[in-house]
Amino acid sequence: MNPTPSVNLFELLQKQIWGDPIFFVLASLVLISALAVVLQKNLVRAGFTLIGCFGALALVYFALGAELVAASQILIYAVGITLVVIFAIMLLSGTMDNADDINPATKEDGQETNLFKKYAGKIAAFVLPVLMFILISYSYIGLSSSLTPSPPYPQARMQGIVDYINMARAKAQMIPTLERVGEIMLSEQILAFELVSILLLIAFVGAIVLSKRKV
Amino acid sequence: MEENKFELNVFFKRVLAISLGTSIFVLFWITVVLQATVLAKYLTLGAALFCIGIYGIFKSNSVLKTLICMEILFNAAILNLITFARFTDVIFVRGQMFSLFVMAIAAAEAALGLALVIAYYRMSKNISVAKLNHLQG
Repeated sequence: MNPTPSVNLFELLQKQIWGDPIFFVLASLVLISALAVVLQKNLVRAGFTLIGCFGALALVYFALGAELVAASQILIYAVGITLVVIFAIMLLSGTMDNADDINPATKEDGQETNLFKKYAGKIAAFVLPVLMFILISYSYIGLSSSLTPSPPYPQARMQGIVDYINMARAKAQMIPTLERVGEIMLSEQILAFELVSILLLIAFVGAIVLSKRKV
Repeated sequence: MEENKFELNVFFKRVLAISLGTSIFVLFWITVVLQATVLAKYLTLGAALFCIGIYGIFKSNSVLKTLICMEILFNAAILNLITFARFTDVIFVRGQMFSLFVMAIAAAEAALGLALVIAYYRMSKNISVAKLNHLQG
């Protein structure tokens, strides 16, 4: 029914990059800085690289049309949480993440923790990506087939029918999402809003109490 | 002889880390190109971030690194929420509102977790994950 066109991977890559260069740049920034955070041994450097990761993610949110979330990402994550983490790293003396070289705990306790860490890292690195990619592709197939049973646009098959329709709808009503988010948050979800404020109050009082206590 | 062995070990571990990073990167772009839709691109970015965070949590040796990687996990979840809000719930963008709630709870979690780490460090002068089981007695 649907003859699949012969696909050249290189042409597809070119089409992807020139079709959405912002995504290419931003995703590279996000992935490289996240990998640098994870693979960095010096914890202070990892904390400062986290600012770049969260800033690039804020730009991704902005590209997705979520202005309020982008602004609060910068305010909460790129400034607040990162600085708290950096101050905690500076307060504690263990600034180096000696995962590979020196590990006195495993030498004392035997081989158990060492084995766990080895295999857990390998599982996370190799099995999880494959699982997640399969899951995403299946979810995409299910979504597109449920929303559009018979694709009428042959030129839009490359880009995806769902995205085509949604982009058209979004272009038709290009209202800023800020006011809609505020309306829903303060009318429909007012209970959750107040509960979150109480939770934040309790958490910060608890944090002060925990870190001030002289043990 | 032993020094030579040790250096080889470190070298192989570095090679493994670099190849892991590049393989995640290449896998990411291959899936982006193969799926070739806007929705799937952003979802793949979220999945790659999630995998990086999971890898860091399992591989890290200090509690602070684990907390940092948990922030990366939260951001992957928020990215998925915003993507679905953008492409499936165009009129009432509830995903953005929910991602704001997630951010607030992540801030609370970070503050409490760091306070716990500082309290534990005052007690035992040590924040290694492998030694955290000495808290019980």
